Amino acid sequence: MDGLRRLWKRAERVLAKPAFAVSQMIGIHPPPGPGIGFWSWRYLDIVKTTRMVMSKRVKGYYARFPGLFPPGSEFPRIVLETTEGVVVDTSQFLGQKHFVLFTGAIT
Amino acid sequence: MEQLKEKYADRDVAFVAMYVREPHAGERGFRHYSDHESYAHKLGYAKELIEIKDLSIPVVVDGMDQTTHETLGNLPNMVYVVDKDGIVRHRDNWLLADDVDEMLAELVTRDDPSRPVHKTIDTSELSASI
Repeated sequence: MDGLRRLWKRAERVLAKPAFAVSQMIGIHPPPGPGIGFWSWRYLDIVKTTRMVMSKRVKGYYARFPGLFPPGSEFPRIVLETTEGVVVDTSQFLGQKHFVLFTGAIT
Repeated sequence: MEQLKEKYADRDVAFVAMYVREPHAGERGFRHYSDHESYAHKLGYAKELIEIKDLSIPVVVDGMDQTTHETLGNLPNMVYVVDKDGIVRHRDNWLLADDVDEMLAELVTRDDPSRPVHKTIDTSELSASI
């Protein structure tokens, strides 16, 4: 049993990146990780999620993304408040720090 | 990302998370979550996210009109790495910590070649991205 599990883990590692690349090509964007990147289908509504990622609106976002602030371009100034009410102004990082900005949600 | 924050804690790197719309509200694993009805509702979910993920990274919340999120691409799990000059060095439509680690290692090593940093994060076995 342990041997099978190890074999599956190794297969996942080998297949994860190509599977992720293919999924991006066809317009579905599952998170990377276990299950060759398709672990999230266990808790998502497959029909609703497939319909969402295949919708023109969402495909439009992914199609537009490459044209938005590509590497080498200037990042726009962003000023937003944190959950604690502290103002984060990305211009405060200029000349001081590199920064990583990422989006996320609970679901 | 918390691992990355720890790794680069003594270097000039800041991390900011932006809480955005719930892409899978009401689905199988998230029955009790719904689309945001007000800014207070959205802020409540953002605080819940911090609790669930035990985040120390500051989480900013876009307005209900999603103006900032729209400007940056409107994707649920995207990432931008911006250098000290305000220039985008890396961005992806899906956050992969490995790639962010690689870019940050390159940037901070360039800042101080006497203290080189190497990519160490491997997310192939992680199941969550934030």
